[in-house]
Amino acid sequence: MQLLVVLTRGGGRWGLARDAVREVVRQADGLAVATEEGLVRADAVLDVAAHLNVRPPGAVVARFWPGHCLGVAIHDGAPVVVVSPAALPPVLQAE
Amino acid sequence: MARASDTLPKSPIVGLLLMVAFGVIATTGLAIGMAHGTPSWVAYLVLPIGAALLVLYVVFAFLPHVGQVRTLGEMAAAATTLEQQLGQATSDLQAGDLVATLAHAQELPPRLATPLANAARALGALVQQIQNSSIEVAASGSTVNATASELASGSSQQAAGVVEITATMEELARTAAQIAANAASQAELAAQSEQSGDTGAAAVEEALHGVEEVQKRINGIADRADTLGARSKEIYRVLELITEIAQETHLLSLNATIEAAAAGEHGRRFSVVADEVRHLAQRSQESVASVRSLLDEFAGSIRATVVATEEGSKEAALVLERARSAAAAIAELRGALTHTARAAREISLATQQQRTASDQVVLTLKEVSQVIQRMAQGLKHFSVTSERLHQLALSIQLLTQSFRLDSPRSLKNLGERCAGEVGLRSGHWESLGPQMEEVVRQSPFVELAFVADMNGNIVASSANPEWVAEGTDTSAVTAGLNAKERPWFQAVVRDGRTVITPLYESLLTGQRCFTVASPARDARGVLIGVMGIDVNARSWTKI
Repeated sequence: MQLLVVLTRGGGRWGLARDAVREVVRQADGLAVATEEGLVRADAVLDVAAHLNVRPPGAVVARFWPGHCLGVAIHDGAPVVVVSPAALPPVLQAE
Repeated sequence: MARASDTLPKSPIVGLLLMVAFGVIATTGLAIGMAHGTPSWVAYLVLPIGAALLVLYVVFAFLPHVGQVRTLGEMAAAATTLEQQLGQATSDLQAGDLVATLAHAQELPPRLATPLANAARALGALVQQIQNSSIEVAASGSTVNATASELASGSSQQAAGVVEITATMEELARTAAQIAANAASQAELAAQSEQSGDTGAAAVEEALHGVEEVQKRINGIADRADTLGARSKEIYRVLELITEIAQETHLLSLNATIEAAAAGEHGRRFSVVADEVRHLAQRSQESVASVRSLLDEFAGSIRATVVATEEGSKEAALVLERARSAAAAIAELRGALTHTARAAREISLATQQQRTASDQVVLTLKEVSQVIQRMAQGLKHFSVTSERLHQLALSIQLLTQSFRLDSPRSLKNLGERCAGEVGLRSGHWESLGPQMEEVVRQSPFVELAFVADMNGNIVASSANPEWVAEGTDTSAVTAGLNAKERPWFQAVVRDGRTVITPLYESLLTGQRCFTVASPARDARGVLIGVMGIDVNARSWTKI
């Protein structure tokens, strides 16, 4: 069972592996999740979910997804995109 | 004749003495005889003596004067001639023909001719003076009449003017009374307005104090709003602190949840506490947000209050300024009303005085009007009197014209002279026209000059254009006129002298005139016609 830290950013929900997260820190314009690879920007941290069913992305999603996507899950009826701190989409990257 | 006149008086004296002597002797003889009862010898003696004395009287008194008796016959004839001459002269004098009187006086002896001529001349001079005086009186009367008429007209105009002035003054007096009443009302209104102004000034003063008080309170509200604004800022800072604490708490709770999740089953309780803390932090943030929202509303209200109080303060300042201006205006108005009230009282007093003066002027004007009316009536009487004077002067002139004088102003002399020239043209009536025209031309007082033959026909005439319209046919007037029926014609034929008629109405002009009618004789002295001159009564002073 994989633990995912669910956060919101840019109107969407994002998931980071719990093991990759060191702590949540405050930024000037919001929050940031500190990882080994760097900071991941977030508007809010929603949950630490343990029972999400992460599925690999489909061919269509993988084709058009700009970064590296580890999988997709459903959290409280909303889709969560699980990403790797090493290959963050631009919306999550810290300036 | 001188000798006879010297001796004649002696004979009667001698005769008288003889008769007295005869009488005395006879009376004495009769007395003696009667005393003795019988005639005595004395009586018989006295009678012969008396007879002798009578004979002596005849002898001594008349016989010497037989020659003188013959002279007396001659003297009687001369006296008869003289009597006739004197009678003619006195007849002329009686007829007023002084010219003829003087002519006949020349035929009298010098001792009669001289006094008669002197008397005639003196009478003529007197008549001329009376004529001149009557003309002067008439002229003066005309002047006085004209002046009186002019003055009467002027006084009538004056009376009318005074009546108009009186009416105007009465209207002025009424107007003054109305002005006085209006001024009194205005003074009363001004006094009331003055009191109202005082009340208004007090009200404005109270309003001024009230506005100042309101301004002070608005300023106090503004100060308190500022204080509230400052306090709300402090609350904001507290809210920010709370928010920061809640965020930190939320951050801590998130990290605690993450860590608790990593702890597995052991961190479950801790994760529950962390979730609760996170939830509390969120609720705190939400509460802070609510408080911030309320505080924002409160701050907005405070800002609005501040703005409102500032505007209210400005409005209060403006109202205060306006109230002060109103107070100043009311003060000026009150001063003006005071001045107006005083002026109105003065106007009322002045107009009352004016009304009194106007009433006095009206009374005076009415008295003046009465005086003028009396004066106009007096002038009318004066005019009537002067007209009467003119008529009297004309009457005197007519009386004086009853004398014929050797004077250019003697109408009888003029008539005689013209008639004499007519006599020279006996039988040639057609040649008299120019002569008549000449008479009219030289005598502006003549209305009509004419000649009537012995049948009473007007054979020549000429009218004065001053009195008769030019082109008037005078023959139409004289055509049906039979002069023989006229009194002047009959008087001339009867007396053979020039006559002057009384005043009568002219057939030619319709105005009053009189006629000078003179006998026209030929070279033999035979009456051949009557020369007439009509004198207009309105121009007789030009004689």
